[in-house]
Amino acid sequence: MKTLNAGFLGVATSLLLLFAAPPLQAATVTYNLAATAGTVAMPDGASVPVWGLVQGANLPLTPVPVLTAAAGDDLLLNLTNNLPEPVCLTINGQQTANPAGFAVQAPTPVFFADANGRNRGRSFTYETAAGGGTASYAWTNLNPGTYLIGSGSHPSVQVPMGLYAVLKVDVAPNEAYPGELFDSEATLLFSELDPVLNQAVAAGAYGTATYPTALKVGYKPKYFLLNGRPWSASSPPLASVTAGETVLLRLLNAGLRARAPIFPGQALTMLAEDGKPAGFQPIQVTADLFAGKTLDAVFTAPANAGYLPLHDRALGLSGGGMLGYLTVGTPTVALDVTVTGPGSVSTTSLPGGIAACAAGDCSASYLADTAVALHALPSGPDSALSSWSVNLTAGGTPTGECIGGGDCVVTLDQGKTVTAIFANYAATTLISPNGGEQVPLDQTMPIRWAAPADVYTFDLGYSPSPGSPFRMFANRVAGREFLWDLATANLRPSSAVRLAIVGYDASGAIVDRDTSDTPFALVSPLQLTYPNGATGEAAIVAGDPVTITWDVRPTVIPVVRGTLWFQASTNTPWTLVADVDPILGSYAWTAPATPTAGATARMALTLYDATGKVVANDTSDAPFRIEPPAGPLAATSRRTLTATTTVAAAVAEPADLVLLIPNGGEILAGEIPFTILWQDTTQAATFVLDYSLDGGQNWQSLATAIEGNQFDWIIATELRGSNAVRLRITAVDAKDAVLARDLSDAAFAID
Amino acid sequence: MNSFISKQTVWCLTLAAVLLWLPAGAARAMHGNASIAGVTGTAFQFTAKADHITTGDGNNVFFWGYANGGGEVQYPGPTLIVNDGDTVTITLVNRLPEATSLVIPGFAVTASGGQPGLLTREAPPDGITTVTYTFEANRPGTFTYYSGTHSDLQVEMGLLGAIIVRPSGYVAADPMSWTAYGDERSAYDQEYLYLLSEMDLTIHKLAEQGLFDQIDTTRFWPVYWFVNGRTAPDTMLDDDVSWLPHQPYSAMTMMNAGERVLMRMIGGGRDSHPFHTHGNNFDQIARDGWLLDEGGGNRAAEVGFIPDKSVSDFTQTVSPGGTYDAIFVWTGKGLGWDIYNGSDAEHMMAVLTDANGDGFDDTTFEYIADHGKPFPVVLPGQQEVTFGAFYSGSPFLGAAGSLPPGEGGNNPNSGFAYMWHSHNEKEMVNNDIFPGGLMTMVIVDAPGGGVMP
Repeated sequence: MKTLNAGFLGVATSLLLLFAAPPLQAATVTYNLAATAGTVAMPDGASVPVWGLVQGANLPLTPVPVLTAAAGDDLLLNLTNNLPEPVCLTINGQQTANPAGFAVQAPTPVFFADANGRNRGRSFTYETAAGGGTASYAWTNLNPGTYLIGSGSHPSVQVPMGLYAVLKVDVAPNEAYPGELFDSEATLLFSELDPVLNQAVAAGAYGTATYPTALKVGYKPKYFLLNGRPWSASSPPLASVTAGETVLLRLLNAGLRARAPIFPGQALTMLAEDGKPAGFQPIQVTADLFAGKTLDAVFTAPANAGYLPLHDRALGLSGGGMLGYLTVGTPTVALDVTVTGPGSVSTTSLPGGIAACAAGDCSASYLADTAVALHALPSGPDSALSSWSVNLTAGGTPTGECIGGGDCVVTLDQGKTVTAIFANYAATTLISPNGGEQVPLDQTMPIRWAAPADVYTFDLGYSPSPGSPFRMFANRVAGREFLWDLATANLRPSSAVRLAIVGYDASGAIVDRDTSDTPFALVSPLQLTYPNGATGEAAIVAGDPVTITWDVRPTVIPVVRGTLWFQASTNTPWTLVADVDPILGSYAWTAPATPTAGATARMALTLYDATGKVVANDTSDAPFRIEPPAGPLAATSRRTLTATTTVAAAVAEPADLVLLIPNGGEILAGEIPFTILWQDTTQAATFVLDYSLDGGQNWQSLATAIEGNQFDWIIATELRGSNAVRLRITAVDAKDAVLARDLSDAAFAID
Repeated sequence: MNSFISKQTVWCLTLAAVLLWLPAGAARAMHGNASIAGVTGTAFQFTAKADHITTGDGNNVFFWGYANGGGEVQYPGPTLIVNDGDTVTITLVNRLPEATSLVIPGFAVTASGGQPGLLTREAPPDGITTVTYTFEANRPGTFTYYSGTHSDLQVEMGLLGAIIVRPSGYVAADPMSWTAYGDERSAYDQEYLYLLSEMDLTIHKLAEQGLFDQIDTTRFWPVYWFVNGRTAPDTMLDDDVSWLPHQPYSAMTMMNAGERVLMRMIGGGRDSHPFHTHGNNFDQIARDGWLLDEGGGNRAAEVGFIPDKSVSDFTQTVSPGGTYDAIFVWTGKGLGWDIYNGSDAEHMMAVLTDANGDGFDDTTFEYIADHGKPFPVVLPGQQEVTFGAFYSGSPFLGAAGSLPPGEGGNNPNSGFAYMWHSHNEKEMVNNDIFPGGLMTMVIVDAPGGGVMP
């Protein structure tokens, strides 16, 4: 069952258990290790002192040694100790032996007397002396499985410093335990670094007043390592495997905190804990990798090529952290990156590959069709990316990807070359948006600029249309990027928005300013697509069915309904065609029976949110014509139609509902009720009255379920003094379906 | 003296030849059956956005969460309830100040839209771009989802949730059809979710002020602990209380004696939590959506049939990202006294029946072997004890007794009350104020006593 290891326990058992008879050809496998001090560079630039068990000329933790042997072998480790304190080696779960004779012997712990004369334990077994001492450690008749080698001396310090290694013992090639076969394998060793602890140890200050003990100061791991390094764009794959293979994962935790490694899309069959195969092999997605524990699991590599990400679900992910991947398949497509100017480019997506590429050429290979995200990092506050360009490596044809600033996402269906050009800016300069963009008006948009290092804070403003004054939306922000939430700025569509930036120095004095060279557009989420008056679009014939279509994308404030309007010509009022569901994107209409004299008709679509406020509207870009029907019965003049048909007026839709008063231009006295009058020939059941205080942009409900043809409006005192008031009357049937609608033709005032 | 009535019980103490249907089977007809609150369907539209939650010490904590469709943003994210075989689509739009994504472990997820990230495709922080995650929910069980971008910050901020996949044959309206994995080994009468998480208040305060550069997740030090997004005592409120608009899920657990209760436990945060049941052991039947069985095997246990590799325990280590299903049944077996009052003459006249031979009365779930055994102690007088809100006034199941004015009140059906909680005791506080944090109450009512669904 599971046992919680609070720390690395270096207790080596000296059981006299004999396992299955060792293979006849059991060998003695020998490795030479040196306990060596060094430093490792973290991705944030910090240099952390470490102690590592190194083979040959390697540097500590680069890599962490992975030793292999076969079940039944004897293992001999010759250790040289270049550290300033004694060390030893222990392997939980393997049977120790005396190296000279290889007879099984109990480990002999080493004690010392502390400053108070107390007998204290220092090492679980005999030590290798500091400062160059040598000793050998042996284990006999190795058990199969995955094991953690670690120092058993002063382990609370030496293990966090990095004195650990991996031992893999297979029953036979590609057989981890009896009957457990695998095709490929990956070793995943999790550990941490606490730089404050490590610096104290390296400086000889551990145990002094500066840093009494890790217990007293507190273990504060800041870096999270997978196979000795945190994730970065230059991390190699944990393994490369073939589709469909059985992959063995050897998970080890040499750190002091529990980890939860997870390959999100894979199901792991758990084989063993601490080298002990369990009879029952549960299938899990998550693995309980407690401190000091080893786990063996297998999974089947998926059938398709791809990158399988792994991460620690206990979130040891700061600064990159415990993240890695397996490659299924063979990378064949090359991405070349060329950087000029003051900046660097790195991949931010899996599998990495381009790491801090600066002033030159970098290259990496990927599986076909991998999408790679590249991030441009200016080297200073006064530099910025000027442009990306992406071309096919073979032939140089531009691919059209990565127009504009921000990250560059390249899809590697073939070899591509990405060029990033950075430039220096001697004064505050707006970089992005830099003109020509079509920005949805409810988007959150990043604004980027460059400025010399001594310009500290910035105001940002926008001018919504040509000639409009700039309005500030960011006040004294720092850095070189700002996320502008356009949805809260409540802007209307515009084709010519400009930005302005003002830079301030440390004392708050204005240093310089800049405005967009070219405006950008704010586009509505709604586009009426037909009928739109576009050249060459299908003609509309009077009386024929027409499908009105529009494009609408999801908006921040959800749109719940829309209204379609039609206007035969600018002389005739807008009439309501229908209430529509905006998501449908189309409406089946029958064109009016009366053709228009020329291209004078327009459609409009207005979208409302749940409170009735207009979210977006769009009108036909250009007027269109309603053609007369083909054939001799086509009416050719309005007068003919009026005489022979029952259509009352020569307009496309008869106005059945007319708001009579107030209809524009009046001034209503506020103290007395005002009688609103209308004329209605629709068979309406009731009417709804709304009013607007801003000329028709926003509407509020005045009354509903009104019967008859008049309504006494008792004007609320807070409305007095308004001078852009309009009324809207809607005729509804018994089921509250809209029959007709009319607005006051112009605004009126309330005294 | 106790009087003994001749019992017409069928003693079948050997392995029953009859199908040992669940002792709770008869109980199901008697009262409501709770199932987990969530949203059903196959297409979900998530928006990642920010708001505030409330903790039991009266604090408002800034968080990042998922809103489904036009609903409120909530913590945890919406519990998605889908069916085995459904193709599930979740679209994600991002109104947070950094890119975000969704990871759904245990399924093969294809993602499109947005831009590629380290674990999956991400939605940029523009409020517009939609990323679509599609997967086939090809096996029943308990699952989780969380943000795969900058997870050490975003999971901490609250971007996490649960997914439940119903087996084929599950009919919501018919509690007799309720199983977690399709057969009797995971059948249940009541179903509860325990999605465990924690928060470091400092990180949330810095995020609220936009000071992301100052956030150091390596110095993570949680002070709030949650079950289903609420700290105690809010864990004991109903679903959807109006004063917790962003925390819609309850953890209050109610059951009748003898019923099989399915506990779906999920490690939603980054720490392990030892979830501890009082009142009985549970049998852990599944992990990460796979039954603990070997080749479909089962075994009989106090709770009825369970998978053959189930583990009986009273504390479940709920590791981050892991899901754990367990069946819990409360009975009076092992108390050594008659839970319905062995000294009550009227009770002793009752006829006990045990048609299925499991040793419990089929209707009341009294442990027949203890029938008539008296309560083992003489209770002190009322003036000599303190009561608390959960005591019914009587030690017997379903029986109320007199209480001084103002005492009791939280136990309307006079059941037995237990606390289920993290056994990492420091997690039972709200920012150092006890009681709070990762705990909830459980009430076991007599059969026929109501259960709030």
